[in-house]
Amino acid sequence: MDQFRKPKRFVADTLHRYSPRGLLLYFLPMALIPATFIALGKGHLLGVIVNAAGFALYMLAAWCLRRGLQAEHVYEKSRIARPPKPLKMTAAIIAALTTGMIAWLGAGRPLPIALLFAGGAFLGMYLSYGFDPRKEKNIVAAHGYSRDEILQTLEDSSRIIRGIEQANDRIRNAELNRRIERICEIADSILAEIEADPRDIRRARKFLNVYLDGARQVTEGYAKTHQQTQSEELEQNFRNVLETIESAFQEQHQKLLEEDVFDLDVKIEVLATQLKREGIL
Amino acid sequence: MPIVLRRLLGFIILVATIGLATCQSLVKAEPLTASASAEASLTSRTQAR
Repeated sequence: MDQFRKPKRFVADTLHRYSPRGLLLYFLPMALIPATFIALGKGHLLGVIVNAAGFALYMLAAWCLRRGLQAEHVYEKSRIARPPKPLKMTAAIIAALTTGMIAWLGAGRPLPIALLFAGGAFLGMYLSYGFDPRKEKNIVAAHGYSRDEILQTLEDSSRIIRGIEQANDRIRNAELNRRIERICEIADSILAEIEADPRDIRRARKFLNVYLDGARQVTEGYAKTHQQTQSEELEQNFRNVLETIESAFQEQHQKLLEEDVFDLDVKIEVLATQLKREGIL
Repeated sequence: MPIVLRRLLGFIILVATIGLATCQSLVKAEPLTASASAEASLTSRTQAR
């Protein structure tokens, strides 16, 4: 069980953007570009249509493939996940049909040979990239919350954390930036804890609703206000609120780790009062 | 089959099928210069006879 208790970043919204996998399909059909222009120069309408459409379809297949690979990466990293959309399968079908069309109408091969080309492309796509995972990473409903509710809560919370990070990018103060980064790291760890053991969602739900959203509102509010006016008092108020949020986040995380049955409702009320007093909520 | 071998095989098949189909389409659009000039000279000789 120990490996499930280690803090881990919740990855629902982080995409594997910079992997080179799947780029091959962008480069393979490059010969169709000169083929299109040559056909255009010679006035071969069918050649222009087939080569240009073929190139566009290969680009579409490559786009679907990359999106499918990214979705698969997120699925593999998450402990709870719905199966991704069948984008890799879609890419394989588009690539196969396009290859068959190019071999038949573009290269002038007989139809049976063109079908072999299509089959070969489909096989190549399957062997290189596989197909999309179809199995749901199921969790049992916990404390009256259905699987979809838990998943939705985690996704919404992750989106709020990304919102805090974006607001942080607009704040020009290294000390406050570090504080906000720490808060986001702890929040990600809390989501990872809930993901590992969804029973925690009952205790964490109020935290997710009040604290996390409060943290986003206060950060976005400060990011907007401090660009217009530089005020020592405003900065100090913001610093105080961040300190409270950080300590509350740490406490919540600790309680989840200790599986403490005591809720943080009282602390949450204190924070809500402070946020109101500071004029943030 | 090991994953690396599977991907390598897939890569070869992909390059062979898509690469061949697209290159043949290009060759059909623009016949090779040597064969095109030979064909042209053969046509002109036939016409001369």
